[in-house]
Amino acid sequence: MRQARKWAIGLAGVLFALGLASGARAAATAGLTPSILESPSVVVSPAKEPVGAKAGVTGEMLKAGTTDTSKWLMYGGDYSNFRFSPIKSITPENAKNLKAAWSFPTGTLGQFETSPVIYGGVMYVTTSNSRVMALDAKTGKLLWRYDYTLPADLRVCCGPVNRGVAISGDVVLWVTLDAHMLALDRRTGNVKWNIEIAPFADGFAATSAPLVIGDKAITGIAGGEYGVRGFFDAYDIATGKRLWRHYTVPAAGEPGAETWASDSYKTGGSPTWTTGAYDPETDTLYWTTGNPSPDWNGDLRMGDNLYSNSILAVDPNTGIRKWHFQFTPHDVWDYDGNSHIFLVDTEIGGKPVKAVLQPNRNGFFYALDRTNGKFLYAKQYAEELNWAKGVDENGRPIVDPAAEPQDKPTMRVCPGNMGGLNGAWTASYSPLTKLAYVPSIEGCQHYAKGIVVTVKGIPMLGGMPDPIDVTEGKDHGVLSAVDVATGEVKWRYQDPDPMMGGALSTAGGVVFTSTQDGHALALDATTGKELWRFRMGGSGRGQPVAYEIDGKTYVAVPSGGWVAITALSGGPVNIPEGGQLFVFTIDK
Amino acid sequence: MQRLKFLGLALVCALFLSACGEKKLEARVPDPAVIARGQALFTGTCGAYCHKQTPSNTDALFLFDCEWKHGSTDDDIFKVINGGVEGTRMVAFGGAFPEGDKDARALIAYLRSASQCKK
Repeated sequence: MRQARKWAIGLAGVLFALGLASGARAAATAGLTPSILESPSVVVSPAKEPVGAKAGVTGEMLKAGTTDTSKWLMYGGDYSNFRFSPIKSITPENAKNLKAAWSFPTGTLGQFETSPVIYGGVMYVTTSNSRVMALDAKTGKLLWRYDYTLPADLRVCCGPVNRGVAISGDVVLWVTLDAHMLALDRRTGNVKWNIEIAPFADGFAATSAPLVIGDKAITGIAGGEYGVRGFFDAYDIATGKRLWRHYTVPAAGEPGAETWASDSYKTGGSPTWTTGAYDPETDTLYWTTGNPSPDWNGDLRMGDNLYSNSILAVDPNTGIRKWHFQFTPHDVWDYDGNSHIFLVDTEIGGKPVKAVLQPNRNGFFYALDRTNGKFLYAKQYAEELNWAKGVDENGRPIVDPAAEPQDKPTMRVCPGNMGGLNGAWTASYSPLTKLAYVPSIEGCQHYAKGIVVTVKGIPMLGGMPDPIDVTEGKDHGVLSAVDVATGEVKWRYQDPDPMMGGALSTAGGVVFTSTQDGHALALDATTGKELWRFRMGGSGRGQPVAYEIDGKTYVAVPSGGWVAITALSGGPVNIPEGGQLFVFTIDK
Repeated sequence: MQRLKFLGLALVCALFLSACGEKKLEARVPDPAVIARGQALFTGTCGAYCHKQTPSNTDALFLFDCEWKHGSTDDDIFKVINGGVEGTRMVAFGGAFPEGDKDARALIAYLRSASQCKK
C-alpha cells in the first residue's frame, strides 16, 4: 500500500499532468478517438415521450428549498445552502436498517462529485467528463441521457468533474469542462441553447452547478491555476444571453486595483468555481472567489490581491457589489476561499445576527454579518493550523512569515493546499442541532517557491507543494461538528483517509457523508457516533441528497474518485476509478 | 622548415584541446548560481503539474534519467524547451522566460545536475 501510495503521489503530485491527460481521456470518452479500451462514444439519447411533471419549476418552489421532501432543487438544497432535509424517517435508532434501493453507473472515470437534483419524480445527475442523465428517482431507470462532446485539449486543473445541474421552469442548466453553459429540456434532454462562457484555451473551465435566481442563472468559472482573470456571470434562462459579468479582479483604475503590483491583475486568477448562496429577503447574492495567480509565488503580485479568496455580496439584478470580505489576503498557499457557505440566522455573543458562515480551506471557520460583511469571528476548525497565528479584530490573518513558500522549504505548514474543507465537496448545517458538519483533510505540506513563467493556457503556479504528511502516512480525515454560535468544535468523527465526500443532515438526527475507501456513512448528528456504513466500492467524492417518493425515503450517495487527487490527499490509490450512484432506502 | 610546420600544428592542436578542455570543464561544473536559477524555474513552472522528480505514471516525461526522447544534447533539449513538442502538453516556452535563453540554459544545467542517471 505504501508502495502504491508512493507511486501515486508521484503521479498525483502532478495533479494535472492529469488535468490535461484527463482532457485527452475526456475526448476519448466523448468519442473523438474511439477505442475499444475507452468508455463508449458520445450518446445523445433524448426521451421518446416527455418525462416528469408537466408543471415547471417556479421561483416559489426554489425559495421553499427542501421543505417539500419530494424535491431537491438546487446544489445546496436551499438558497441558504444548508444541505438539510426535513425528513424524519431515518433516525439514529433505525439508520442501521438502511439498504440499497438501486444503483446506476456513470460510465466515466474521474471524480463523481455531483449533487443530484430531484423534481417530479426525476433525478438529474451529472457525471465527470460532462454527461447529464435523467433517471427515475424511484427505480433508477434511465429516462434520457446527454453526453457533451469535449475538445481534446481541455484546460482542467483538478480532474474532469461536474457537480450538478440547476433547474428552472422546463429546463435544467449545466456547465461543461470547456466552459460552456447549456439549457436542456428537463422532460426530454433536448438542447435549448448552448453558449460559451469563456474560451477554454485561455485556461477557463466550468465545473459547478449554476444558481437560479428569478429568470437568471448565475455561474462561476475555474482557471485560478492558469492565470485567468476571474469573474461570475448571470445569464437569461430563456435565451442564454449574458446579462452581467462581475470581474473578481479589478482592472486598472477600479477600486482594489491598488492591491495588485504593476499589471499583475491581468493574470490575477481569483476564480469562482463553486455555487453561491442567495438571501431572498435582502435580494442579495453571495459568491466566493479562489486563489490569486500564480499560486505559490506572490512576488510579482505584491499587495492584498483583491478580490481573491473573498466572499462578495452582490445585487443579482445588476451584478453590482454591495460589500466584500477577504479571508486570505495575498494568498501564497492556494487557500481558495471557495468552500461551502451557509446563510444562518443565529445568535453570536448573545445578539441575533443574520450571518454568513464559512469553513474556509485555510482552516478557520468564519462568521460575518451578511447584511454588511462585518467580521464576527474566525475559529480554527482544522485540527492543525499554523500558517497564521490567529486573526486580528478585523478578521485579517496574522501570518507566520516562516510558513510562506521558500526556495528550500523546511516548515511543515498546515493545512495543505487542498484544505481543510475544499470547494470540491460540501458541508451541511442543521437548524435543529445548530451544528455545521464539515468533512475535511487533515494533512500538512512543504510549500516550495520557484520562478513564474507565464504562457497563456498553461498552468501558472510559481511553486509546488510537497505533501510530506502523505509521504509519511500522517494524513487522515475528520468530519467536524461546529457550533455556529461560537465556532467551537463540538465533536469530530475520524477516518483514516482524508474525508472528501460532501455532507447532508436530516431532521431525523442523522448526517450522511462518504469516505475515500468507498463507504457511505451515517453518523449521529448530535454525537458523531457511526450508525451505519455501506461499501459502495469507489471513493466517496460526491454530495449526498435525500428525498421522498410515495411515502418512501431515499438517500442518494455518489461513488467514484480520481487517483491523482486521491493520491495527493493521501487516500487509497488502489481503488479503481469509475462512477456509480447508490440510492438507499429504509423500511418504515 | 618541416620541424617548424610540425611545431605550429602541435601548438594549434594544443590550443584547440585546451579550449575544448575548458569547455568540458564548464559543462561538468556549472556555476551553482545557474543551477539554483534552473531549479527555481523548474519548481515554479515545470514541477507541480507536469514533470515529477521521481518516476511516475503521467504523460509528462521524467527528466532525471538518461532517456531523452527528443535528443540528449544541450541543444536538443534547448530546442524542446523553446519550441515545444507538437501533440503534447509541452508548449513552447521560447520568449516567455524572464531572462530569455539564459533561463532555458539554466534549466538544462539544473536537469543535468539533478540527473539520477548513473552513466
